Amino acid sequence: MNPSDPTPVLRVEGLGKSFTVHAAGKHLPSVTDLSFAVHAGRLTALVGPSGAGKSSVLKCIWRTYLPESGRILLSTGSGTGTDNDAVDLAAVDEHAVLALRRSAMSFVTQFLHVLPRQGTLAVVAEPLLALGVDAKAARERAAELLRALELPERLWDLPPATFSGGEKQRVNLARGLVVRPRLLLLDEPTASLDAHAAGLACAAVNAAKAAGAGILAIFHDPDLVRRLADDVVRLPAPLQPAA
Amino acid sequence: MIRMNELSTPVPPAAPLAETRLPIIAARGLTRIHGPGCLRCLESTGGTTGRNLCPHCRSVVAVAGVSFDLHPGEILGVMGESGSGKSTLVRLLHLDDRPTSGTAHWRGTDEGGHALEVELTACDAAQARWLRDRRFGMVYQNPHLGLNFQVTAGGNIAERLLTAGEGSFRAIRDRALSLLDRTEVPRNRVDHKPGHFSGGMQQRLQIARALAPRPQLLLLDEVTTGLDLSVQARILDLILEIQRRTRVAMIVVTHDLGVVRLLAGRTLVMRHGRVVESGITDQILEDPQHPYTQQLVSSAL
Repeated sequence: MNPSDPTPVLRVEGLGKSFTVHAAGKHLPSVTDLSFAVHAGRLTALVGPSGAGKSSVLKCIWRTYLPESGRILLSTGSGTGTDNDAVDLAAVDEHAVLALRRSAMSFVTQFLHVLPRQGTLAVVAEPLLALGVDAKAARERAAELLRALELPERLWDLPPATFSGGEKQRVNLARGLVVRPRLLLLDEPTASLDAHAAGLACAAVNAAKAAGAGILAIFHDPDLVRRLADDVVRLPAPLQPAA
Repeated sequence: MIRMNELSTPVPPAAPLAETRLPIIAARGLTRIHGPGCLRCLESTGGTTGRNLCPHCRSVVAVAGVSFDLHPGEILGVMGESGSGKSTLVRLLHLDDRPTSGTAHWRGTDEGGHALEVELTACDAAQARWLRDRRFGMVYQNPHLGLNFQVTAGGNIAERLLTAGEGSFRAIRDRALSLLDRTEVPRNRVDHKPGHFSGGMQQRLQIARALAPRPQLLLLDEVTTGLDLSVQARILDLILEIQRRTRVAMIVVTHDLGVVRLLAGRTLVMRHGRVVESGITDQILEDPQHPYTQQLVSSAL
């Protein structure tokens, strides 16, 4: 833990999540009573066996999954260290979640859902435009990220739909970093990258960290955990589903 | 290698946490029953009954108890199968039909740009016409409902601008051409009638016509249904581009999960006239709570 940062960017307290599949009459537990914190300028890795609920934790924070119990406190960035300075993502309404997704957090997944005809540079710049940043500045910032991730400039005008997995993943990472988020959620951001591109992605993640972002990440490769993580949260093996 | 923390482009401070903006539409308990209605209509339909026809009085409960807020600049998806009441809901909002009960409050601006509030379920015919002509835009699945097939493409836009009170020929022509450009209808088709257009171009012209008076609310009812996938993609792109440029609030009615995934920030799921579930769109698609939504999502993927 970082003693100079008493207010974490994110505090997860007693998070619980399960799924009820009505057609199958099944109740599947996913995450049980999980607590941890993510600090500014540090990377917390979520580790655990497959099926332990690592992705579910990220999706609960992003509110793609509805958290069932517990609190997910995202700092508002005012820095006085009380509960009033945090918003509970498990409890706030949908409009507040959508506003925070635009301004305070980014989620880089392995998949990219974007419009079929939009060019790559526009895809990456879009989160800045949505915040009202001037188009030229947004494109410049997007171009800097794409250049740093070595996505060939001849691809910038093309929609990413036709790209290779590795190219798409770099577009996705650039889009996640373009607004300097307070909280960055990464789900296997280097899974489809070759060694060189993975190195560039790691450099980009480290740069976001150095710029003060709190990062919560899942890596498929234990070596990346060793190289990038400042803190590690270990999830237990999945529980047997109740009948 | 470029070190990213040395990147120079300024990034603005984060937007304020709480969105304090008021909704442009606040609907509460909207209900529309076709037929005489009886005391048992609501309890005898929807939910686990699996029907929207009241067995006691043979009335159709098209929409029952629908409440939602639509915020400025937001795209709200309304998803459901045919007969779910989603089209009735937009007809109520567009003042093409009146609810049996419930309210829908609209907040916008008057001609002078001053704040104006209208209770849609209580407005008179003149107010309804003014809202439809100048503040709302509607795009239908069937282009024959949204376009006049007797006049040219340019005439279709001009008609709506004239209705909205635009009197200058030059202003009408300039606005029509700019709308055709924006909706990717070639300028050399301006004097052609919509009957000679492809299905995709008819829909784009319908969107141009709907947007002509710069509406504050755009209602889109199954606008990509029945079109080829590539044609659909072009229209979905266009809708998002319009939303980005104009920040017009939209309600997008569809049975297609792909359409809400691409367009809508939040989604209502309707069945038998009721909203069975509502939420952030990716939550509805990835963590649906209601048995019906789960069935809808699992049968589509």
